[in-house]
Amino acid sequence: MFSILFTHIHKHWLGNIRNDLLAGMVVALALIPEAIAFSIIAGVDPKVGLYASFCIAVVIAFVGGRPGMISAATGAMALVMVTLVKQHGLEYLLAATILTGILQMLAGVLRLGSLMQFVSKSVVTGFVNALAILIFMAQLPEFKNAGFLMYGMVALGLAIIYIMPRFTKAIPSPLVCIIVLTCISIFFKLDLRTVGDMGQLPSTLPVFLLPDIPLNLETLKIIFPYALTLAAVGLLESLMTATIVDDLTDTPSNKSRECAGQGAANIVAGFFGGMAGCAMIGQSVINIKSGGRGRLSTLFAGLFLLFLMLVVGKWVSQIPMAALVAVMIMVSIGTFSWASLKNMRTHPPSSSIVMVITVAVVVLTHDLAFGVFVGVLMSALFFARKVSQLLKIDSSLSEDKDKRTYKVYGQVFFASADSFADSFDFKQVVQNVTIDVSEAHFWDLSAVAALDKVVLKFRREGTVVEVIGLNEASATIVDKLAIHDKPGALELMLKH
Amino acid sequence: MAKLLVCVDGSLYADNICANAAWAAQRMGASVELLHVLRRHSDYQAPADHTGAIGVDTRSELLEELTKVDEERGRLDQKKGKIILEHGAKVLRKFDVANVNTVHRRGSLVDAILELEHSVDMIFLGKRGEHADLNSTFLGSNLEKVARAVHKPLFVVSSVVRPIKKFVVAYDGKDSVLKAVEFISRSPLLKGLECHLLAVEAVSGQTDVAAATAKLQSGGFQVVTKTEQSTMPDQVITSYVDQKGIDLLVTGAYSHSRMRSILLGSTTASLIKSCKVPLLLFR
Repeated sequence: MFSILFTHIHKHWLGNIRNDLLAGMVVALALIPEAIAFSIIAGVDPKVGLYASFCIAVVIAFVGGRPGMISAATGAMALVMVTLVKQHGLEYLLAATILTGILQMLAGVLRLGSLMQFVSKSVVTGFVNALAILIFMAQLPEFKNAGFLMYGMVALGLAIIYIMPRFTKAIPSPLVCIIVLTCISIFFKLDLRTVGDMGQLPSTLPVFLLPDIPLNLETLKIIFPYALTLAAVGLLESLMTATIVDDLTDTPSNKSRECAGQGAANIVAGFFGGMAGCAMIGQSVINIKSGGRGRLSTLFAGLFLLFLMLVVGKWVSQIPMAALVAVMIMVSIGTFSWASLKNMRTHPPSSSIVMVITVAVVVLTHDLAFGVFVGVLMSALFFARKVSQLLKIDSSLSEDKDKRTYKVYGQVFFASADSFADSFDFKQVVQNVTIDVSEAHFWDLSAVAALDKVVLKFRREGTVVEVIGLNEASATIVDKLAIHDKPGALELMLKH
Repeated sequence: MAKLLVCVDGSLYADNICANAAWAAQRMGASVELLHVLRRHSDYQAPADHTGAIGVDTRSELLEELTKVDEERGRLDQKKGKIILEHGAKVLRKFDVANVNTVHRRGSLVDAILELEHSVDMIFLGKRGEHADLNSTFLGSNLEKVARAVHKPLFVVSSVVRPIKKFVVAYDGKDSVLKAVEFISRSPLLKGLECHLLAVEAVSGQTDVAAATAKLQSGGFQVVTKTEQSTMPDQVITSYVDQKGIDLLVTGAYSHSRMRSILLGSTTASLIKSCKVPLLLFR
């Protein structure tokens, strides 16, 4: 047992120390502006997002299922909680955060992570693009009534971020952007909004607090819908990010453990005055790009974040909002899947439609969970429609013209049941009709009902109907016959 | 037909491993599975770029870049592994081992050995891997992991190769060493060689060597039995091996938990370190 433990510690914590620490630092530096910006989106003090980022990163480093992935306060979650904060205040947000964590842990225990298999690639792309658009849109209020000074600063910031990496890859360019803009702003005493204007920054370590709310059904009614959406959005983004990290690093992850881990992290964040968070696509990509692979990088990102806050906190309040906006625009550019625009020309229209609809629904409703729901529904419908076309019915007339034989090939289910029923010729007068369904798959009761309808219709015409091969055909109504978990089930399903 | 699993890498031990394995294969009439395991991508340091900036399609570019790095390394590793296996097979054939089958796997050495273990009778491994210095006093990181995981006899090859004429069984009465005695008395591997049985005990009369001696004698060995009193069994065994010119040390391995070994030190680990001769370990 100990040997397993030691191997585990070596592999996940100490396998990549130097790169993990450096990557953790790069991530922490990028987390600060993001945590502040997402707090502002949610309408709470920057310290709420910063405490959340610290708690979530540190907890998930130990309990998460995907080493090397970065979790903290995120834009996706911040967008969900806006109205809750506006109508009921911070304390309700903290309670909702704890409830979110409990729901996510439950999802982990019930292995709901496997539901991700129904989220198609187009929906994931739509989610990611919608997220990028929302993050970008959340920056727009900063430009309102701002002069050319602000525009110029943001442009300068973006220039630093994207041009500096051409000269050196040793220093994080977003950090340089923040430092340079802050220095300019202080030196020239520019009249710019700063982080300090946006609310309170942390001055101490986070402390354990019970949310100050009445513990009754009324409260639950308020926070439960938010907690449910938060839990769903958090798990969606976390599992999508985990898949991205899996692909980038070519290593597997434990999705159920990640769900439960996200829950634990949110519960801790809620009790320590932080808002709900989840995995971050942009930060995780930055971490992998910086060479981070182990749990150590996530842990160190959290610790270094808090260290920075407590040590250089008074400087943080001087950072002009223009610098944060530049960093967030970078995050939204980096999150958006630009290739998906190019691919729209080559990919099948149905997947592009699913992607665009997912984006549209999210941007209109500001609800990522709802957007994904619509996207999944759309892809399911498109799939059903495609498969329903896999149906062919041949018929042949006997030489004495008394007997017609129909042979059915392909998939009969709710989407193809009507076209199945319409494929029979009831007007021709024959004495006997044979329907051979041994080469068809009957997937559900709609298929069976359609066949019944056809048989009845023939009978009313005075025709004698014989159905052949129904047992084989209906073997695919697997949840009734439950053959899918028996050995040889696949062969049985595929053989006819 | 008996089968030996021989694990080689690009280390200086590889030829010794093949030489020892060839000797054993001929005595046991065994065939050889020659195994080389490539490292996983995740065992390598990842390339790092600390700019912290993500731009248009960074994600897909990063995937492309990381894949390219792994691809190049993978191709080199494959080529190198093939050369190692071909060379190993050549050495084995030089020693007249007719039946050599090469196995090229990717992943962790321990997992690869565990997958093949059930079909073989003995496993051959070097004291250190290719990334270790021959003069280093540290052991290969794989050796202990393998030794603790496998259930078949493990032949640990050292940097010294000489004809094996004398062997000693370091006897402590534990199950693992009883297994060793059982194996020796029945296997053709050590038949006809000079056999020593050395027991080191903290308290006099603690270990009973009579049964083991009888067992070995029943296998046709002339047994030289010796019992010493000491609390430092590793030192006594090492000096016995040196003085008597022993060529092979047979013993039980890692009978204590890993935690205890870390706190108190492991006799097995210190034996592997201090004895210059090959070891045959039983668990």
